[in-house]
Amino acid sequence: MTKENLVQPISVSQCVELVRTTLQAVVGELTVYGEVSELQRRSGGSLVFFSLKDESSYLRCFMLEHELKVALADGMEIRVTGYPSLFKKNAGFHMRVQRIELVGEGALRKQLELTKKKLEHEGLFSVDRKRALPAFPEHIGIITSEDAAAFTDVKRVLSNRWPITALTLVPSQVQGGSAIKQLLRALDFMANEVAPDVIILTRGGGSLEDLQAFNSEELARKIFALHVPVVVGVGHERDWTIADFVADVRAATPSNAAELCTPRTQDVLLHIDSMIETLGYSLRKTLDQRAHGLFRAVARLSGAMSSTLEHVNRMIAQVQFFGVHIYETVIAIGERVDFLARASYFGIKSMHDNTSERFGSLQKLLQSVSPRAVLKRGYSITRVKGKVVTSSRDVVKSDILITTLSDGEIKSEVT
Amino acid sequence: MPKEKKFAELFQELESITQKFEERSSADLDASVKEFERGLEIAQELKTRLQDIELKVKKIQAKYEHKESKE
Repeated sequence: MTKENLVQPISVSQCVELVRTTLQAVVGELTVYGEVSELQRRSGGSLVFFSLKDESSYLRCFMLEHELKVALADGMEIRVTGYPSLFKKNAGFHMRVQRIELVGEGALRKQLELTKKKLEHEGLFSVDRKRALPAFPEHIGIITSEDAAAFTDVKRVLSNRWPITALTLVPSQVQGGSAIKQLLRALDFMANEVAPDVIILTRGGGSLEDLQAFNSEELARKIFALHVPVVVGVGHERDWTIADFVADVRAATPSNAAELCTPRTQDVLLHIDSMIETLGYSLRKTLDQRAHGLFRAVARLSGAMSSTLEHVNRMIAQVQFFGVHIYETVIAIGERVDFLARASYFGIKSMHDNTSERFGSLQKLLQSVSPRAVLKRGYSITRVKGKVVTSSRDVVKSDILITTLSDGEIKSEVT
Repeated sequence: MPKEKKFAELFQELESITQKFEERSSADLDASVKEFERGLEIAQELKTRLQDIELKVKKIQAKYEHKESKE
């Protein structure tokens, strides 16, 4: 329909349609700035209406809820992009908004407060859902801008504190147009493909505008949903972002993030040493208790043993050539005190190490009856086929004899 | 000692042995000695892992960009 047709009257609908299409064709897309007022939602929240005003005018605006990417509130300074249009039903003039940008620190701050409130209400910042960081991470993932000082800081701290960990960087822009999109992808990729023990999401400080990506609702929801714990460290302590609140651990700076997710190697070594000390102390205590019991038992036995020893000594003196018999006798004695030897394996060890004085006499006693002591005096034990030779009749020609001396064995053949 | 065991797992094992020792010092001697030896072995392994290590840094960009370019 064109103006030439207008000699003929037209219907209301035709009129509205004519003006609407003309407006769109002639004026086209516009970007308008102003302050939000009379914000309301209709049709169950799916339609968003508001006015954009300045000192002298106001402009009705309309858009769909799903097109609205920012949290809007009355009083916010914004910039809308769209085209002028008319509502079909009442020919109401309005701006059909397609895009909204927040303008100025005030609007950003307001938006930030709104997002924070909303997510807090939903429980995204709840302390209960925060996951504990691993005590000894062996693989840390870091998402930040590759050239940023933040990355260098994290590397330096990890090298000093806990170099046992591997560090994987998935670079991402941290500010600017595609930052949110890149951060979301980097987080997904990191959690699913790299799967480190913990993720550090970090950047240096900046203006509220610089930090916008870290304040986005989408990033917050992504961090919340990840199955790997996330430490967020942004800039300097005075900055806070939505990401800080949703993180499992919030760090003040990139370096602080690296510190919070690692122990200090020196501390861990110290801890290991102290555990070993505790183990040693406890074991010594147990051994001392055993040794004490053993000492009492030995004291009771020593009387019996000394008389046996006298007997042994007499035998040694009287039948010096029959070292073998002495050996056997000693074996017999040995059997009698066998339970003692068995029971005292660790006791003796401990005695030797710690209480040698207390047990010195016992040790000497035991040494004097040992066949080795006898052998040291120049005697030897000769065996044929494992049997001790006590008579020349025990062997025949070509038998192989094994002679045990105090410090070794001699192999010989009977001729 | 199997290398696959994570540092944290070994550390935890050492901690639990130590705790056991602290709780009952006059436990079965044979078992205690065995556990003591195991404790020393773990401590040695942990210390070895902590010594002369340099931070290994890896950058995964190619794969990431590839993934990105597909979209």
